[in-house]
Amino acid sequence: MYASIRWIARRDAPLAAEALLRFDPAEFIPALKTRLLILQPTPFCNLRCDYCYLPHRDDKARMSLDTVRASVRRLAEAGLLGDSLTVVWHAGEPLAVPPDFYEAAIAACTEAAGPQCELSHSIQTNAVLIDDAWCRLFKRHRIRVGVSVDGPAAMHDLHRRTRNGHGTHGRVLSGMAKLRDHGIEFHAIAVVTADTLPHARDFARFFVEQGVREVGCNFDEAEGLHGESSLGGAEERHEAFLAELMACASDDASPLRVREFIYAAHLIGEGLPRYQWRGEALPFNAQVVPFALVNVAWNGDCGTFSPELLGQPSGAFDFTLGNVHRDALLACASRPGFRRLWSAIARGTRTCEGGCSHFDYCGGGAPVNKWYENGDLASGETLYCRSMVKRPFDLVLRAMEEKAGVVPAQAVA
Amino acid sequence: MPQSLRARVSFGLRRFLSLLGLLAAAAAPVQASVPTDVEHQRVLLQARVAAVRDAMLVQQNLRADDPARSDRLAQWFNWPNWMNWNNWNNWANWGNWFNR
Repeated sequence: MYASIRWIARRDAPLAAEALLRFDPAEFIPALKTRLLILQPTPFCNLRCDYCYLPHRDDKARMSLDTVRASVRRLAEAGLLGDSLTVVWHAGEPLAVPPDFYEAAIAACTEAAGPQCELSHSIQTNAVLIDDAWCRLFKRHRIRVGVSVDGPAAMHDLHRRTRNGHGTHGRVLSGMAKLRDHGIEFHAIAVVTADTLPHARDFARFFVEQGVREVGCNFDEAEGLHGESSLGGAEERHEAFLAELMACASDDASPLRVREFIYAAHLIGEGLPRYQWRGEALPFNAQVVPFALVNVAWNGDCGTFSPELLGQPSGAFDFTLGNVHRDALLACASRPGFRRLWSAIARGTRTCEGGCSHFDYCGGGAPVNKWYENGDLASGETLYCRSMVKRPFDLVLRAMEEKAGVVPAQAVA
Repeated sequence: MPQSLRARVSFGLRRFLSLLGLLAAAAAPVQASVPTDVEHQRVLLQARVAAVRDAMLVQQNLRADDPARSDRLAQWFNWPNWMNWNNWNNWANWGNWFNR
């Protein structure tokens, strides 16, 4: 069974620290297309969660329709629009902007994208403002809704609070009930902190009882204003949490799907798609491939790579590459600021390739986590890698080996 | 300490450390042809994944290029609730980008 095992030679020519990459979209096969356009309707958030990474969340500025239009047009003129695009409204509380804005903004996106590109829209919300008007908007435009909720009240209210310091769990439940009343399916994303780790079963039970079929676990990350993850000294407990959560999700009676396990199962079943760049076949990771994701702030400032980087202060790099009102995206990519950023991220991908056993199933980690955890975009493994990628992958793989009666390979002659 | 002296000491120290790094690199044994521990681990992981896929394909009598193989894998793994997973593309694209 293991006859095909062979050593893979290390690359002989790692990127030199001083080399600046030149960006040419023609060097990517298949052709580079933006999969996800993340638009920040406002930087404002009505809550004050203690693990939030966003700067400027007191700022009530709002994205103009001109900015919405310009964002999509910039993709089209750069040849980055494929036959489909997901627009995500995020990075502030998107429901702090009224439904009327989205009626006009969705029309503006459709007009700017043209008939060749199928657009879909997604919103990630804290749910406390959801009412009938929002639900009508979601249904009318088939907007995919994600609710940020951290589990039962005892877990949620520890961190997700109002600006006055009060828990928000009750209001989130009301918002979720409103969605159910309108027959709107939604998924949940929960930030899992060290406080959650002893309570995997309660955590899972909450989502099942709330009728949530799909939940993603965002394991507490050190990013932006949130400088330290509570999981830093709790990795064994994190593993135990995952194991128990998997036992809950594997129960035949449980309808709960956990994003991290599903993702791992797909990686095992299908592998990660590869793309060619300068003749090399690399596993695809949208956070390290230029313009696979495009992020636009309320005022038109734009960036690519990890969305959380946009607008973050940094002395070493400018994470804002330009502004959609002034700059063509490919013009941004020819500037030294972009080239420095991409070169550092590409060196980070090389670091992962040379130093991580899971590279084939990840493709280079998350630049934002490398930056905030290691202080170096060119670095390798982070806590994020271990908690979000490696541990769930290993857990699912072990469970599948047991099911298959396969003895894991231990050594190679 | 006068600013100029501090700058000179700092400069000298950096030069010294840089030289030390070059000497260490030169003295390190060349290992280009020797598999590293990470490469070893990577190959083992690939083998483990391939073994699970092979076992599932055999047990389910599926072809390796069956487009539904990951869903069949989930079914075989007795996670029926994973069936009809139609949001894979969205979730795969989104990754972790919906924070908080």
